[in-house]
Amino acid sequence: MKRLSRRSTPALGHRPPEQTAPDGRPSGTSAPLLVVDDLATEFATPGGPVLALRNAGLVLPQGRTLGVVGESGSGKSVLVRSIMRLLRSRGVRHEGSVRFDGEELLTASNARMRKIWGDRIAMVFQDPMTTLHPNHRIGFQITEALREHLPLSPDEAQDRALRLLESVAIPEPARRLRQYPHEMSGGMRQRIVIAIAIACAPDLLLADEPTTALDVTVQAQVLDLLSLHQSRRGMAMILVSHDLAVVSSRTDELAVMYSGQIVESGPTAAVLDAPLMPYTAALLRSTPTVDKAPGTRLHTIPGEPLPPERRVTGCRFASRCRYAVERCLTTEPPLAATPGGRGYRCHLPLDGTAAQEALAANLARGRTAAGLAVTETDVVRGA
Amino acid sequence: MAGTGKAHLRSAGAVLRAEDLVVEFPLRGGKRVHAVSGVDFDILPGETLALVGESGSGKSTTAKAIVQLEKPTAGHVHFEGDDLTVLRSGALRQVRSRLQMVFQDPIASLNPWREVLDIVAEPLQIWRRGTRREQLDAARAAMRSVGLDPETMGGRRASELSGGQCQRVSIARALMLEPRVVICDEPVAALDVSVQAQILNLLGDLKAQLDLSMLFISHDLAVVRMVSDRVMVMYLGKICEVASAASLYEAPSHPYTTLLLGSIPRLGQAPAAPGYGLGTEIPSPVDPPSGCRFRTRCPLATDLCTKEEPVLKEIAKDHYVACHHRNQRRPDADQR
Repeated sequence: MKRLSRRSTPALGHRPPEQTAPDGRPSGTSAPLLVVDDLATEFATPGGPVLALRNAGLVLPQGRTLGVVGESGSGKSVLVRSIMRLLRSRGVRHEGSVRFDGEELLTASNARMRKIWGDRIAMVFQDPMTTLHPNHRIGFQITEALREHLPLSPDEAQDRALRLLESVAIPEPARRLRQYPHEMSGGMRQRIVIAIAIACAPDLLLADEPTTALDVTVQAQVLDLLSLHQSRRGMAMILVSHDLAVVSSRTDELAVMYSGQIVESGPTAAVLDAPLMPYTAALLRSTPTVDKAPGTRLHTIPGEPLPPERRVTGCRFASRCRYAVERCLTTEPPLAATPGGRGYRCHLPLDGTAAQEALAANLARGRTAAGLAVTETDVVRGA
Repeated sequence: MAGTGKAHLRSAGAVLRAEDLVVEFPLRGGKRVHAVSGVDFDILPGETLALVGESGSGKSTTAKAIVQLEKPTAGHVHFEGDDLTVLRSGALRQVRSRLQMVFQDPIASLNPWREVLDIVAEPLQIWRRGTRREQLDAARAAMRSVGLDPETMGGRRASELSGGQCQRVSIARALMLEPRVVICDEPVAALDVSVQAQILNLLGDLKAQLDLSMLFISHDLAVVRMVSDRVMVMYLGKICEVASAASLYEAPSHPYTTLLLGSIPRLGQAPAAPGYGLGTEIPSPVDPPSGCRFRTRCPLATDLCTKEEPVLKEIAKDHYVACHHRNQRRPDADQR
């Protein structure tokens, strides 16, 4: 049995020497609001340390929106929670840096973080059922943040809360303030959570799957509401979702995560139009849409996502990638950057000829370097 | 949203037919939850019927009422000549071997301690079909048919499997008794996108190979589009629209279907929600609206919708809508 509080582990220290600056960093201009540099987060578990997030880098200027997409276990929630410094227990270790408005958050004291939470950085979580306290009235829960950070009298706070509820399109706000969370539907509760998050006009809003628990008709409304307040208040936002379609139309920049890493990033439209990383391309093709003909066979990604704690020597996607060559198994692809502000971790980016040559060679052999069977029909189907 | 219409039922040959299905749950104080309020549908051999709606629309309750996991308050379920609602438990047990279910949460559907091969073989064991060796051989074949290698996976315990693998095991288990109809209740809702595509393709392949009929329940019209022959849209316990998949996506005709389709986020496109239903939420099934149940969220609602419940009417070939103000079909759509 390994000890829970194992402090130094080789896993965290292991970084590719080619590590470069975070992708997508705009040169010059004013200092970005949030700069995450080479962030790693490790959890101590009874089964040994789990490196849930590694080499994460991102830059978010004021008022911009970043989408973070990935499957479960890809580290997207760990990323936003690490930025928010919500993972604070003896079993959690961070490495790297999170600079918010010039201030390092990873080493900030708890007292300092209490000043920042709600006031400067706020968060909307996935499940509105469990985010709100079941035993307090809505009014109390909204004014709590206001009274913590602003010198308001009870009446002023109440008045502010009323206007906040109006701004998130809640009918009969005065009555709602006296209600308890259980008296409301999921969509209504998520609006309340958003009202609480924007109460102190934060500079950065972290929204972790804010609509996943909601019905599709309500999802659109809640996303519209987030976009509205984001643009109106000039907030920067990180929108986390497993659904590429959700983030595709509502974000400026996109980061695609796989197995604890950001594997591709860049301007959203550019990434979706011409992904460089085979995983992004495969994810796009396997997403069901209403635009494809009924009965269309979906492209699939063979195998299962690689758990982030699994150690591999090469690329973490290689075992599922039909382009994989020997180098993908032996050498971890460094973070590469393009002039267009895009970043990717891949030896064979899809815009180059090397990828097509590798695929042709794999097809000729019938399998990839990782032993994955590839056939012509798969490729035609997925194209 | 009406429900009492039967225009969409086919005359003969259905393997499963539900008529006037009603499920209500009593509450304290004499009130009742009207979960399913008079739903009719049928499924032909080899056909996949998708049942789509938001949470609270009564889709899962309908599925449970079909297999009699929830006793319907009223109505009939005809399956291969039997009315399941009047069968005694022994006879019902016999019938259920040909009417199987796959549930939403694949991990919770399996006993985490048991080995996969045993889980898949158990239906045969329960029904004492064949020798132990034959049972295990059949289980291995079933595992192969869902894309699991019995040599490497057969001895693993369910707790060692991923969600997608668990769902494959659930499907293999459901197929062991060679059912006529499989009811899939949100089979991919808990899975990641890449794995979801694998399971959807698998279900499509199996359906074609085994000539299975399926009732496929989902909240996601995009998922449903890939697998279904016919789509039925439900709202607050009633049917809004039933149509062949091609017709429904080509020309959605109920305002609720339009709202659902318009709300689906699309890759790279600006959100195209039709802008109504905003701020309004699905009413409580304890006290559903009179007349058309969708009228509280409907932009077309008039007095008529309050007073009179619309009935399902055929508006094009194999396309039925329950709406007083059904969207006019484009002439070219009717000619197809």
